[in-house]
Amino acid sequence: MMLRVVLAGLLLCASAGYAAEVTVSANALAESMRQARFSNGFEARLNVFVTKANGAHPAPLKLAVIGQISADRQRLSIRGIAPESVRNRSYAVERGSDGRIKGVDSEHAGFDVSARMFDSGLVAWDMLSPWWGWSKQFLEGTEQIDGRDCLKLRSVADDEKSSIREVESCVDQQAKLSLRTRLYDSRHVLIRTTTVEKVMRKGDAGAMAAKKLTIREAGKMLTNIEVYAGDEQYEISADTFAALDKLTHNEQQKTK
Amino acid sequence: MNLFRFALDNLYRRPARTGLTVSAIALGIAAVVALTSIAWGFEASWQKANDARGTDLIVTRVASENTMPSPFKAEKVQQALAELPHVKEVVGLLSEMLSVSEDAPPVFVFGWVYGSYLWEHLKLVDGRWPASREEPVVVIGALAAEMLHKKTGDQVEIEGKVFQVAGIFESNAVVENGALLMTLDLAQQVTDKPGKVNVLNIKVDADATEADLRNIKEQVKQTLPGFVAITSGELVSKNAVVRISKAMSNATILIAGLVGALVVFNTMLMSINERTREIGILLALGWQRGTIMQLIVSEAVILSLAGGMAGIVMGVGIAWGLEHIELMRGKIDAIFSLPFFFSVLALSVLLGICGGFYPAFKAARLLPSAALRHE
Repeated sequence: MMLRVVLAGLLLCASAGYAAEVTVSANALAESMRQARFSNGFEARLNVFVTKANGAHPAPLKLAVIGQISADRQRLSIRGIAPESVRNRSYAVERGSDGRIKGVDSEHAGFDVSARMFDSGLVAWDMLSPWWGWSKQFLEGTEQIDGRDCLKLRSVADDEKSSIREVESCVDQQAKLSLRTRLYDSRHVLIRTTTVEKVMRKGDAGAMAAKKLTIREAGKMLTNIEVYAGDEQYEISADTFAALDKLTHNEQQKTK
Repeated sequence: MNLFRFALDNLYRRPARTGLTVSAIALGIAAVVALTSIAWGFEASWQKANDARGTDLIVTRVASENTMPSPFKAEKVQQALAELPHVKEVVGLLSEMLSVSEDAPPVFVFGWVYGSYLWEHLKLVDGRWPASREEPVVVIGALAAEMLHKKTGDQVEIEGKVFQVAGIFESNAVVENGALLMTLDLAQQVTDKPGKVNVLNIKVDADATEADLRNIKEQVKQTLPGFVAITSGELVSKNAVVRISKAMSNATILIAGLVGALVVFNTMLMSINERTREIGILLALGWQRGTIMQLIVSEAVILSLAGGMAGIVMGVGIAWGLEHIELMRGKIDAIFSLPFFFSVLALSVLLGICGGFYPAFKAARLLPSAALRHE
């Protein structure tokens, strides 16, 4: 009898916990993820290991990512550190309050933000994670990834012309981190999957950040990324996003 | 024949079982010795590095738990610290774990204020020190030089920038021996952290007392929110890696202890089952029940003590091996001491007593008449 009471109690607690987990609305979850990314300035240094579809391993890359993310503007600068072939290459990308994404490379030319950077699986569009701001968000239950509970969230693009039409994320609510992100096109074909392999605690906050992640593309290219250094209070200097400022200035001149 | 000799002979009678039991205990003890010595060594090495520099207090961010605390802007904090009573020198330190060669694992790259007291404890064994705060050179620890196959005059690439090796130094701390050292200005440039440091090292004047150090700590707490002044020992004990390695070592002690006691328990239980008639004869001959208990517990203690001694040898070997594999070189420095070895032996004896007590109790409770009828 006692055992039954204990089991019933445990069952109740478990279901109450589950109910509490799923009571969060899809839009609230997406909004909390969007807000978790806000930063006055951060820098992360990455080791990037690429395995091409034919199994070839190009030389590992070292990249620096600098970012500034607020409610109305997201800006990222991705700069090659090593080897020599990428050293002077950089990309800067910005997403304004209107949701428009624009990018400029080290040649001061616009670049396709949906294309791969540095011949790796890194895509500027993905790094901006615009799907957290989309209006159509749907919760699709829970899942466990590597022993961590996560809520499955499906985000559907507001813009029907977007090359990525759906994003399926599995969000660890406590860590405020998507453990797995799947990107689909308009025909619901899987384009690529980003999976967090290892997490690290953000310095002074309770949230977690990805320490190691993999990007697996439908074309079978695999990109392993490891954050080896970082600064959560990076001071954005005047020239960090100078290329983007120049691009904006030129656009304004044209419209005049 | 004394009891010890009698117990020893009983163990010799079943050499295979005795050998297996000793091996199982030895493996557990070896894991305890290796992990504990590495955990202590890791802690001691960082503390040694901080102490060797002559730092009295370290100022860092409150929530810093990583091997190197997260970087912060040094200028204002440094000024405020310099004004505190008895503070003689305040110098910044920046550190990153970076890969400087495709063939070698990442190494620590330290940036120290040029000309500060931090450099004084190092011994230059080849070449020279940097000539100015901006000279694009590094000096490398003897162990790092060996690992990276670099000598004075060679070049190293750090974060896409090329530096010449100006000299090679030696330090008492393995952490520093396995590191690359450059001026703080260069380290800030190369890691893109202008004006930032991980920690500020405070050196107090000769008149400062323990009370003065406590006063500095208190003043930092009150006047610099978000920062804390601590001793190198306190910083190291807060370190997440040290805490994890200590927790792992404690867990290993617990698991190895349980497994060891169970192995002894099982062996001794089997042994007394096989020797029921023999124990019956001893009781019939007038042996006291206490003597029977002493005999069985002695056998268990001999087994576990032998396992403990073999385990210590194996554990030292494992730690030595780990220290010398390429991936771990310069990162661990296992430390051993006689008190530690005696503690491990005491743990072994305890395992023997715990594992042997019930079988001994069971043997002592046997009735001679029943034991003699046992087939």
